[in-house]
Amino acid sequence: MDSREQVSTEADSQAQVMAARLQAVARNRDRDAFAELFRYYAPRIKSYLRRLGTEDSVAEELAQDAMLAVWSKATHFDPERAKAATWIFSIARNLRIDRLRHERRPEIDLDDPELIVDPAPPADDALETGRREQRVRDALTHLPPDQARVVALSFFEDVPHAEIATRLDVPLGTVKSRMRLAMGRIKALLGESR
Amino acid sequence: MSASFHPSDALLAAYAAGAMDEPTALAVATHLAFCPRCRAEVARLEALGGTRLESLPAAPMAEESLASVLARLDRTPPIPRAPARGATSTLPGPIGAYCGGDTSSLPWRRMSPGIDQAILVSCGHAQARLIRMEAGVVSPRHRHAVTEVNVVLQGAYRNEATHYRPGDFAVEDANRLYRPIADSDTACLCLCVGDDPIRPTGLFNRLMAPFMG
Ligand SMILES: [Zn+2]
Ligand SMILES: [Zn+2]
Repeated sequence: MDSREQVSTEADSQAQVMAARLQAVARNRDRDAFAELFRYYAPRIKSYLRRLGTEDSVAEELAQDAMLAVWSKATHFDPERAKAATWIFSIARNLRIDRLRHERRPEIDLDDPELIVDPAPPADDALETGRREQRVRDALTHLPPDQARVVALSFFEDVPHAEIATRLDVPLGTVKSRMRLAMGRIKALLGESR
Repeated sequence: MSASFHPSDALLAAYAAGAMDEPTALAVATHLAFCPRCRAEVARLEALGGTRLESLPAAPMAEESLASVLARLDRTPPIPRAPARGATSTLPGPIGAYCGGDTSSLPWRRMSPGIDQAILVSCGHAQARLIRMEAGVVSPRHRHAVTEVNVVLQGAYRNEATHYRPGDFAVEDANRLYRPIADSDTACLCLCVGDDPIRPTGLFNRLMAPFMG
């Protein structure tokens, strides 16, 4: 087993542990499992919010509230649709939109029977979800640093392209082309046929 | 039948990241209800968000943080999953949430003969409104000061040679001339997101403008 496989196996088992903790909260209101989730995710949610320009005390409060939302919505988590980190990311993202931007987050209900589906849906079971997560991880680590910075800034720091250009001291066109290249690369690395 | 016109990758990324105003996010979410391909793309981008969240350095939490959250758990009851929607509404879920699943209660305003609009949500400059064109209606020729987005909900329309059907995410660039025609048998209902009122450009429409709206 080479070192990259080693890393992905560790990441996979960590993802399974986190999913199991979320399910323990959902089924048994397991406070110990929740405390473990808190210790790992709360500081990272706080970090995410700080990077979006949120003041420290507000980020602290929102990270706590995001974890309370994890507690109350744990039964909504579906390990076949997303890994725990992805689901918690979406909770933190939506809470921030609600509390700091005072806007609603329009979303679709994936259980809505009226959603239009593919005539022949791809087998998107838990295994497939796991593979997708792995490919995303690989895609991210293989981006050239200048593209990774542009993606990170636009993804995690709510920064308009013009401001990214100023911060990185490059022309706006460069930011746009790096973004395009990065998205193309991520897609190519994901091996997606669209 | 799923959609033929989709949001750009940059728009899907901004939606997944939460870096998008509410009216535009409503247009993207509405398209997602029609489009399994873009749903899969958003799921991938959100997975990217989850992966980045895990890779961020941990920011130290306040000393009493965990204890105070644990103390609040008992006062934080579980929120049950919402039951799946009944098959009665004719509007996609994200739109239904803005009008109680029923458009008849909205404050409709007549814009020009056969064309009505109702505002669903505005924030800052951006505005999401429903536009209903009666079957066969030819809209006044107009241009937009900024880029607008139309998502077809029911019926269909045509602009020059391009045909838009339910779920299609049509981007109307600023400064080009548009003259949509509702060319289905039924009325055409669209979600339109933009930040300026329609500016009539034809002589007839300039003359009519004071009497519209
Ligand atoms: Zn699409
Ligand atoms: Zn228009």
